[in-house]
Amino acid sequence: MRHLIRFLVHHNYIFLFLLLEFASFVLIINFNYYQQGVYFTSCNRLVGSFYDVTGGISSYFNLREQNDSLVSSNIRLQQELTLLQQQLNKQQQDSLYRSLEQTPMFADYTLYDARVINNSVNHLNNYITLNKGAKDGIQPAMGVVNGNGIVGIVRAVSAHYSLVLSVLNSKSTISCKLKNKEFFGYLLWTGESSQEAQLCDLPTHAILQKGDTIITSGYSALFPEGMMVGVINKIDHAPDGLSYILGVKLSTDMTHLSAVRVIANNKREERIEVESKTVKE
Amino acid sequence: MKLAVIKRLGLFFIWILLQVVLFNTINLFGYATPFLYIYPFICFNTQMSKNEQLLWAFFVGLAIDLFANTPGVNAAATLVLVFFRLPILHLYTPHDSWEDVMPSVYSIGHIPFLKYLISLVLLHHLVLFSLDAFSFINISLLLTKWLVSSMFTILCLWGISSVERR
Repeated sequence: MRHLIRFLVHHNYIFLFLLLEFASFVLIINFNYYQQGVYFTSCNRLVGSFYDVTGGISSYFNLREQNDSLVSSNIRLQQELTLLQQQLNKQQQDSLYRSLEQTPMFADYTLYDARVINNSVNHLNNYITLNKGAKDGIQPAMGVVNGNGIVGIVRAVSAHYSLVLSVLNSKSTISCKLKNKEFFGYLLWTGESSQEAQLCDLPTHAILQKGDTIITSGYSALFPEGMMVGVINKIDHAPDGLSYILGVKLSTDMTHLSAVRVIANNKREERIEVESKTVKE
Repeated sequence: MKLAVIKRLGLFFIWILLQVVLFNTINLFGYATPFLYIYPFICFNTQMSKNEQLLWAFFVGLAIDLFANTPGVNAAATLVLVFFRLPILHLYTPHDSWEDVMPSVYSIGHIPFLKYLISLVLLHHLVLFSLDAFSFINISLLLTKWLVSSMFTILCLWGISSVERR
């Protein structure tokens, strides 16, 4: 007994080691399974304000690329606009069409502008920190986009900062569909390249080819329908033979993020209420 | 004593800053990120109290975690590194030479130090990447990331230890 006690006293660091390891695992599990833990992330006050400064500095380094991407997206939109105007002119002879009211894409949504102050692409689960938080109206489960496409989903907010689950995160699933067709699936990230993700669950009877555009489906309350996601660059079949696994080249360059918009769905609560009611019945 | 603690605090502050601002943003070949903040732990004096080493490991790891949004992952990995440091050093050096030494290229020699460094970095990164992956099943990707990042870290730390003459 005395030997045992002497051994334990002499090796008390083993207990400290186990205790601290235990504390670490509590943190890991808490963060992975419960959404509340904001304090041990970059969206707490201290780390947030630190990244506010460093993010502000580093955002100057990729101004050139930001500009280039804005110019190219402007040109693309300009072209689409001309095309649509031409089509509209043709259609307008039809009086029935004229009476149809066109609702704009963001009618039910509020957009908050925010800036990325910290971003990672090298983990298997990546997160982004934004410089806006609860005080600016940001809430968990809002979609985040930039000029080129989707960026992620707000996971947790503190008063002044928010933590975004990047598209490049194995826990992120976003409902997507083929542009101009009603086949839908969900977007996953496999951890390999920061340029690519996978689209799963798309039924095999869907007609598609490489280069087809993938957009958000609007089936979840996070993103409105039609936000750009990427284009198909690889077509594989799932092991079950019933669906495709598509490689998607993301339209957003996740390595250079700066200005983003957070999308708040004004009718989200109403929608969730209706949906949960239906499930109960 | 107090001065030593403040000095160490300053040293860690610099390493943490470098890690979160600089090293964490490196992503060589899409796989390799160096974790150089573990260098001071590798060089801790062998006489230093183990409890103190563990506390430093926990809090420095936690600080890195806060910045990288991986709460607990770096803390757990760094604790493992510090815990197994002396037994591993023991393996590669003669018994009498590691009583009171700060392991470096010059104090224990190139080959023993390299062996010590490789073992520790592989161990640290293994814990780090497997905890980071957590409920993520893609073994080949995990192994690639682990090996490539370890190699990167080992090369950097070996370089630092060779340059740093005391």
